[in-house]
Amino acid sequence: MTAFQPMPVTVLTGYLGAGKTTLLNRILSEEHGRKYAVIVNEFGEVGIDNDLVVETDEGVFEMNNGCICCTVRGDLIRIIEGLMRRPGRFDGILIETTGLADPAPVAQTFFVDQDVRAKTRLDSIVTVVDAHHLLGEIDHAHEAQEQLAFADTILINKADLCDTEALDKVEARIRRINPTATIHRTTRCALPLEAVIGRGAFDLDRILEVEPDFLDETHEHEHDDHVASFSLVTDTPLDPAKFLPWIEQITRAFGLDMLRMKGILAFENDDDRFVVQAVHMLLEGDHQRPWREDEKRVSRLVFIGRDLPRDVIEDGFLRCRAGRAAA
Amino acid sequence: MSAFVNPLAPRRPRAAEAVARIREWLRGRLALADGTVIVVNEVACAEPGCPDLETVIGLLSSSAASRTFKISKPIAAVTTADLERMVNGEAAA
Repeated sequence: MTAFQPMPVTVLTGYLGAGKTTLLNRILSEEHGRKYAVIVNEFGEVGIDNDLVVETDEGVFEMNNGCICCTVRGDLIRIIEGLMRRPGRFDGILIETTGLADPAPVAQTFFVDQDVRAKTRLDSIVTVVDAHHLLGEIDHAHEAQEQLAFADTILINKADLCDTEALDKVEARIRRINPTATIHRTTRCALPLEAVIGRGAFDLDRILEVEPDFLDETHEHEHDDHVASFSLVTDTPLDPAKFLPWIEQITRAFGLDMLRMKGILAFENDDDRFVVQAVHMLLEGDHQRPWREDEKRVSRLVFIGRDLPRDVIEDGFLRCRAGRAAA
Repeated sequence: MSAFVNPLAPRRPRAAEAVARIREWLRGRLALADGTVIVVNEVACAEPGCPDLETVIGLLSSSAASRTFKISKPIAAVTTADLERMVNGEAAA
């Protein structure tokens, strides 16, 4: 008898016409021997090649207990409850969101409700963008920036319509928003399934397997950065007695605008890496594997958010270094 | 690994029976429509004055205003009397 494994859930986001349904049908039609339940907002004109499709109504609700405020998708909770009553019929769940959908309520739903959290695990958020149109739209499309901010995997699709120079510009623009996502350049969303499914992007054991890829911050700043990212780094060990209360405070104070945060930390007198991640105000962290002997013990936090006060956060972070008096 | 209490440790979902009991009681007591979703969560909060763990319950309905309740104890410790007080407090508010 095998132990119960939570059902993996992959969320597909992206603007209308970017290629979400193409990716969805590619996942469903590949010869991988797995069956997926598909949750869609609406049955579009393009058919979905699957016999287990459920429609949602995108009902978003705010839950605020005075300390933590988050938004959840009530419809998803209801649908997942229903799907999980028929276990064994499928191996994973794919959620396709509409073009303008905010991924935050979807992601938070998988951390908030106890039953959903017990039965499923959010595997990753995949965002598909149209290589040909992204640069013309992104500065004015805050939803598109937020979809990129939340992504663990980004497909720059329709790459055949652009030359390498144009694709490099698209990728650089995306990197300004999200320095940690894995980026693939695709045509008709053609890529190996394992690049999209089974990523474990929210598993603390796999946090920041991708080294953040920050651009030179002295380059041009003419873009409308509704969403931006920054990284804080120190090679001085941190004091957990200072860091842990500080990161909780930062998450409460700025969580509404902090879309995602990830980090690997080196604590003083601690041979294990400590990893943290947050989606808005939902924060968790734990020890991971030991630092390798050939590995430099550097602490790094990556913040992706809306108008986050970098100077305030950086100052607080550096005050968490061991051996320094707290302010 | 250094020895410190980790306030960020992921809390594995537990108390499934208690969650089911809370849901069933609320659905009956408030005569909730089938479309109303009951979210039950356990939250750790470091704010001064907050308990270490509290139960947060959301009633999410597309036809009525959503409501959020909290009970200052973990899910497994929530009793029917706690739920009755919670509902009465909400009704009186």
